[in-house]
Amino acid sequence: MKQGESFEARPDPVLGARLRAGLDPGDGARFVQSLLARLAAPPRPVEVLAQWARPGFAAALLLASALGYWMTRHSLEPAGAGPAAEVAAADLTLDRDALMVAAFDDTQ
Amino acid sequence: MRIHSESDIELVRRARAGDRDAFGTLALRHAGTVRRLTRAVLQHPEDAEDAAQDGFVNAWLSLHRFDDRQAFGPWLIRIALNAARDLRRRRRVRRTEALPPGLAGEGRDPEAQAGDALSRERVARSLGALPERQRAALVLFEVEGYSHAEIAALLGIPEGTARSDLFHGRRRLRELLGEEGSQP
Repeated sequence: MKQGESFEARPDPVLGARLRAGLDPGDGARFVQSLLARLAAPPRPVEVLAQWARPGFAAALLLASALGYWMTRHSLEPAGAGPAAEVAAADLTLDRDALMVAAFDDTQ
Repeated sequence: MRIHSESDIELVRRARAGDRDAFGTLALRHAGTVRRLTRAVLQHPEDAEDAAQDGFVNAWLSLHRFDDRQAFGPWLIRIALNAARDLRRRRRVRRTEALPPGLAGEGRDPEAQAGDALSRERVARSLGALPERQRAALVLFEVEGYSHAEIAALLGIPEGTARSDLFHGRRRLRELLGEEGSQP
């Protein structure tokens, strides 16, 4: 089957005319007049938001990615890293030794 | 307003520099296409007018992003289609109504106006029975004269899908108009 046969490659003038009439929006000059009045007025909050929506979303996404990276990096860091962690580990070792001594004393 | 003396691109350049009259000329030139399209998509006259206005306002605010090497019409249509979709999302609760007759043709013979209005209502009702994408594709092809490839690009679909939408949309619309036409 040829494409032209199956899909009617040219516009149908009768259908086009009926559609044009059916969708006729009326006075174009009045529409433009009200559009220009809207452009002259200060922008509505929704328009300002719409203008900022895309860059705002991109910035939020970037921030969320950076925060996610930072949190992942810190949560995966080994416990022994850093001087504070070393002190905590030493305290834990001491406590464990003390506990073992206490337990030994109890058994006697 | 000078409508035919300047090209779209010249008007865009002037509008970009803040000349609202130049944008008004552009708007007058393209208002028919945009308003017919938003009507076809939204099937609600007031929403369609709001969406068309939103589309032009968004275009005005985005003129600095317009690439002068492109054609202005398709760029504007894409913005208007997005505005129509945004507006529909915002007003999803509103019931879809058939387009009312009688916005055009003021000052003519009342009988002829009534006949026209009836015909318009029929077309609007029949068009409303088609899926949104088919409606948009039909208007772009049959009324605005865009090619299959251009329609595909405007609607963000493959060219084959645009052809198929047109084929099925046309067939269904003819059936519906035929059925309606045969009613008393």
